[in-house]
Amino acid sequence: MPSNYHDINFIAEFLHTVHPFNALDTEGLHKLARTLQVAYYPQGKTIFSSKPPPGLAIIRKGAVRLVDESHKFLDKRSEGELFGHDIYFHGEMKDYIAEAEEDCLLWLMDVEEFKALRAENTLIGEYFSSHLKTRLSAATEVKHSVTQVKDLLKREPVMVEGRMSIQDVARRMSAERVSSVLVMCDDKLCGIVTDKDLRQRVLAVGLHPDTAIVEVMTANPKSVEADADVDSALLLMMRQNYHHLPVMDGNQPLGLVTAGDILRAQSEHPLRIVRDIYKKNSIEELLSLNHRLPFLFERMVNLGRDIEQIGRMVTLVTDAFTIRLLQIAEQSLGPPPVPYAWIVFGSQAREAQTARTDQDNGIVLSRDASGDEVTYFEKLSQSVCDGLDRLGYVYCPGEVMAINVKWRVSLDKWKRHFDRWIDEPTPKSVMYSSIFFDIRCVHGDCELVDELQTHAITRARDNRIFRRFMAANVLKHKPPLGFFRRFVQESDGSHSEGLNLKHRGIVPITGLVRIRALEAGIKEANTYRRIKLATESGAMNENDANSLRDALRLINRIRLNHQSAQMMAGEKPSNFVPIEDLSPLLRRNLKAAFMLVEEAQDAMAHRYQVL
Amino acid sequence: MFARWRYRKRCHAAARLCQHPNVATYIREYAGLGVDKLSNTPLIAVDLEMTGLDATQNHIIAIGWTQLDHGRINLASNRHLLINAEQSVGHSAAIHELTDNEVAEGMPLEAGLAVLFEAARGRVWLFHHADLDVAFLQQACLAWTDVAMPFMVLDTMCLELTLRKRRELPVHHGDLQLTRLRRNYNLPAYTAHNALIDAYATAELLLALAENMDTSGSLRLKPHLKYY
Repeated sequence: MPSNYHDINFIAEFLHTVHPFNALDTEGLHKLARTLQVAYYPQGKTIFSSKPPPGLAIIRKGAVRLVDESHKFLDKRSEGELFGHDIYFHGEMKDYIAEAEEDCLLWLMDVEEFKALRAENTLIGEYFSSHLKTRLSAATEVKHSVTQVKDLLKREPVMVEGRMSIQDVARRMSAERVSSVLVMCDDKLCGIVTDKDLRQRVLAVGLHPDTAIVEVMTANPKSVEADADVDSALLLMMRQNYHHLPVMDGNQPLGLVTAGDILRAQSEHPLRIVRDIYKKNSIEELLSLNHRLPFLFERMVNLGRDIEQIGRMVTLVTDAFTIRLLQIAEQSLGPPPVPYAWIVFGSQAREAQTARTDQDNGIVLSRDASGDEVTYFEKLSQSVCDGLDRLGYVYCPGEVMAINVKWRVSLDKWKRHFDRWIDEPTPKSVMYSSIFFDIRCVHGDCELVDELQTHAITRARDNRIFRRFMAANVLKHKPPLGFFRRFVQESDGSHSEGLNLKHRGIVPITGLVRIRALEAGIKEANTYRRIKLATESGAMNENDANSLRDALRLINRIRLNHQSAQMMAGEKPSNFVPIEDLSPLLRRNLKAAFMLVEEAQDAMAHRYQVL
Repeated sequence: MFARWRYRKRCHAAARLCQHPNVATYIREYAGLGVDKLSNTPLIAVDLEMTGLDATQNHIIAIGWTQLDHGRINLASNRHLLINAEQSVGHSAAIHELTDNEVAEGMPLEAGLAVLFEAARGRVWLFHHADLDVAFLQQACLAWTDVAMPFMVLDTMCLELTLRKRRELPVHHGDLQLTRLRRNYNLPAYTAHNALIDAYATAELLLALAENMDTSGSLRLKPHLKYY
C-alpha cells in the first residue's frame, strides 16, 4: 500500500524533540515512527513489571514512576523521555517496574524493532549502551584546544651538577646562552639557578665564585608535568611569582618554560590583564581596566577552557585587584605596624568566581592592635574595600568585610570566633561557618591563616555534633528535580520562572564537599581540589567524587555560558537560567546532574542521621 | 440485540445488490464479524474532510485513518488520502486548509473508497460524531456501487455521553467537541482539522475513554455499537 510523507510527519515532529532521536534525519524519523504502537495507561496502572523490559517506551504525554521490586522509588520520567530499555540508576543497572504516575499516552517499540534500530544507527546504539554517568561526562567534555606545556619547549634543558662551582655554572650558562639552569643532585632535580640569582645572591653579597652552586640555587623548585596545560603552568607562575618553571617527565627534566614563552604563545591571553593590573598605581588607573573585563570573561568561556580553570582565572583577576589595592594602600600608609594577613571567603576563597560578585574579606592580625595601629588597619581596609566596590566587587550585604571591625581582629580572636561557632552551633553560627570555612589568604603573612585553619579544622573534625548541624544546613538546599516535572506541565507557551543554578545546584554541592573536607581535615578551599584531596585521603570514594565533580562541572558550565551571554548583552549576570533556553540534551543532562546531587545528599543525611 | 439482527439482514441484502464484487465481499464479511472487547477487536478510526455539511450536496475531499489492534494504535497504518472533488472547496478551505489546487491533485473518490474499504476490512469503524461522516461515506458508496454500505460503528462522542449519564454529569454546548474532550482527558494538543490527525486523535481518545469506562482495562464494545 503506498503511503506518503503526511501520513506520519506529525508523529515524526514530536520524535524530533526526543533525545537521542533528534540525531535522526527526516527519513530516519519517519521510519522510526512507523515501528511504533500507541497505548494509554491510566494513572496508577502498572505499565510493565517484566524482566527483561519489553522494548522501548516514549512518553508522549503524562509521567511514569520507575520503582524496584520492593517498590522503592528509582526515577521519574515525563513527556519526551524514555523508559523500557536497560536503565542505569545511579550508575547501576537494575530491573524495574514502570507505573503510570499520571494518565499516560505512550509510543511503544517492541524488542525486535528496538534491537534493529540500535544496530542500524551507531549514534542511537551508543546512547542506549552508555549509562547516565558516561553521558554526563561526555556533556562536560570541553574542546581541548589548550596547548600542553611540552609544546612550548624549545630546547633540551641545561643541567649542572650540584657540586659544580658558581663560576663553572656561569661559564656553562654563557656558553649555552641560557639565562637559567637546572641543578641535579644524584640524578634528581634539586634546584634552579637564574641570571637574577647570580646577580643577587652571588655578586651583590660578594660570594666566592668557587662556592658550590647548591648554596645559591632555589632549592626544590616547583615544576609541572609535560602534559600539564599551559594555563595551569601560567597560574602557578603568577601565583608564586616564578618566572621559570621546570617541565618534567616523571623525574626527568625535559626543559624550562618561562612566563614570557607562554604569553607569547597565546598573544591574546586573558590573563594579560593580571600583568596590567600590577602596573597600575592608583584606583583611578585600575578603573581604566574595567571595560576589558566583560570581554575577558566571555573570551575565557568561549575558549572552552577547562571549567575548573575559568573559575580560577576569574578569581586570579579578583586576587590581583585585591593585592594591588593593598599594595597601593600600604605605599601611602606606610608599612603595616603589625604583621597581618588579608583573607577572602566564599567564592573568591574557593577560586570559583564567575562574574564580579560581592566582596567577602577580612584581616587576621598577628596580635591585638592598639591606638594608631587600629587606625592604620581601619584606613587600609576602608581604602581596599572602597576600591573593590568601585571596581564592581560591591560591598557584601552581610558586611563580611575587613571594614567591619568584627572581621578585623587578631589570630586569637579569630580562633575564639571559630570555637564559639563550633561549640555552640546555632542557625546563625552554622551560616557563618559555611562562609568562614572557605577561607584563603591572598596577601600578607599567610602563616597566620594557616594556623587559624589548622585550629578551626581540628576543632570541627573532632566535633561531630557541629558537623551534623552543618550537614542539616546543607540538606536544606534541595536540587530542583520537581522543577523538571513542572516545566513539562507548563509547556503550553507559558514561561517558567527559571532555575537558580547557584542555590539549587552549586550551593548544595559546595556544602556537601565542605563537610567531607572537614571530616578529612583538608584546608583547601577550592571545591574540585577538596574533592581530589578527600578522595586521596579516603574520606570520599572515587565513584561519589567523580559524580559530584561531573555534576558541578556541568552546572557551572551552563551557568557560565548563560552569564557570559548576559554580560556581552550588557546585562547584569544572574544565576537564573530559563529552562526554555536549554536544549533537550542539556536539560536531560542537567536533570541527571541534579539526581547525582540528590543521591549524595541522601548519603549525607544517612551518615549524620539528619532526616 | 434487535439492532444487530437487523444490521445482519441489511448486510446480506446489500451484498446481493452491490454492483462492485470486492465491496460486496466486504459487506458479507461484516455480517459475520464478531465483536468482543477492545483488546481483541480490530478497529479503524476514520475522519473525513468535506466541502460542506450536506451529504447530498457536498463532497469528500480528504480521508484519514489509522488502525487499532489489541487495544493499541498502529502508527504504521496511518493514511491520509486527498480526494479530487468535482466541486470547489469554497469557504470550507478556511477550516481544513486544503486549496482547490491541492484537492485537484487528489485521487478519484472511488479509488479512495476502494483503498479505505480494503483497510477497514474486518474492522469496526470508529468515528467522533459518526452521523456526518457515515452519511457522506454511504452517499459516496451508493453512487459507486448502487448500495449504501451498512456500518457498524463505535462513536467516541456517544461513549462520552454514556459516561456522563452514568456519572450524572451535565452536558453543555460544545462539551463533546473532539479537541475539548481530548483536553479533558489530558491528551496532547494536535493541529485540528487534518483528516488523519483527527482520526488518530479520535483513536487516542477511545483508548482514554475505554480506560475510564472500564477500569479492568478491556471495555466490552458490543453494548456501545451503533448500526447505520
